[in-house]
Amino acid sequence: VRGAEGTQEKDITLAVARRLKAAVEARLGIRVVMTREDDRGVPMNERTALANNNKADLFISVHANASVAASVSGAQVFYLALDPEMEEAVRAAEAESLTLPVLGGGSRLIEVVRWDMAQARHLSASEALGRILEETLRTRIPLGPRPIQQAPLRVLVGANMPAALIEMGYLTNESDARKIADSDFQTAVAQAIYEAVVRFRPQIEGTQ
Amino acid sequence: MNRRAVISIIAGVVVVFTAAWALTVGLERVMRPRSDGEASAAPTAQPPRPAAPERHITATIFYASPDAQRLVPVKREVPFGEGPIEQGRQIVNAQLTMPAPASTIGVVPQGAVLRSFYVTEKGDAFVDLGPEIAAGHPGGSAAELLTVYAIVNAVAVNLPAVQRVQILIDGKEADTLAGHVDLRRPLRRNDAIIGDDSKR
Repeated sequence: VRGAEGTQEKDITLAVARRLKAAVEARLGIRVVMTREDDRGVPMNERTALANNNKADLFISVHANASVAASVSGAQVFYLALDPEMEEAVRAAEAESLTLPVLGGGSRLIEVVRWDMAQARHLSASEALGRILEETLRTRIPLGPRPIQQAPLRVLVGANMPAALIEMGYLTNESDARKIADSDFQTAVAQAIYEAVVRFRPQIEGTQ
Repeated sequence: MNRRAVISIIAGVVVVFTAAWALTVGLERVMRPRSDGEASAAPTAQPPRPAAPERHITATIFYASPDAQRLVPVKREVPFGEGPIEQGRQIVNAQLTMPAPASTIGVVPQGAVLRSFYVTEKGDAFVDLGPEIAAGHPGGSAAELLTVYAIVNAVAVNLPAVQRVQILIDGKEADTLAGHVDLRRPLRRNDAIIGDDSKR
């Protein structure tokens, strides 16, 4: 997405992600893996594969929104919506766990997770994460008319951990576009996400 | 032979030739089939038939609410199509091209075209769109959800035979339209995105 005054989503989101990474690593001592550190496109599958391969505890995708109405403004949080058929397919796939022989005798149960729909098993945790993000963002930046939504978003489908997508404002709105380009606003968004990570952390540790 | 007799003979010959000519031409006109020009000029000719009126159905087409948070269903007259596939084509074309009525906003980029439309026996419809729809899209989750579900709902709401709708771009399965909504599988109609909260 590109704003009227040339503000580009890819630049703003990278700036916010860098601030968030710095805050989380410095204050919480938690490792943050970025899907990109510079100006390049990353295919959808690579983004979640990176998170899955690093066994990440959270997946947060940062975006800037666009609307067909220039008057619409404010931030929005999304978590994944799945069709009933997909949820059924996930249950069927999970029922097919493999038992493999191990060295020295015996066997080991291998959990089967389809990466093209790995998020299905984390939907309730993702909803909880989304609601916390909505609350922490609300204390720092204006939210849109529908601040939290469930939608079939491509980038979330393959994440094998609680996942949410944040649209921090509308680049198609003149006022939002100005704010989003401002470093204080970017710091506020990063701080709100940081606070959500702090609040969600006990849920992660409770499942380990 | 005197002069009077000669004039009488000439007059008689002229009368005979004139009568013969009149009989020949008159008979020919009676016997010859009439040409189109003569028929239309005749006072008893039938008036030209008016062209048969084009048949229409009333279909539900979707636009954005003024705050661009919901889809608004609007009843529009759409050309009739024989069978679900032809009717589906007409409905998708209407969704792509009919301008938004007052107090609503169009959600499909201008220049979007339908390449083909088909329905499987399982009730999955495939809407194959030209690349223009992706090239002209502003992006963003909010705008993309409205565009995708306007098309999905237009097909699924108007065609009872259709259960799910998959959007293809340029004849191929697409990841997304503009980076957000997953198009790799058929989508069910989305009623939650229709209307506004005050009416719920």
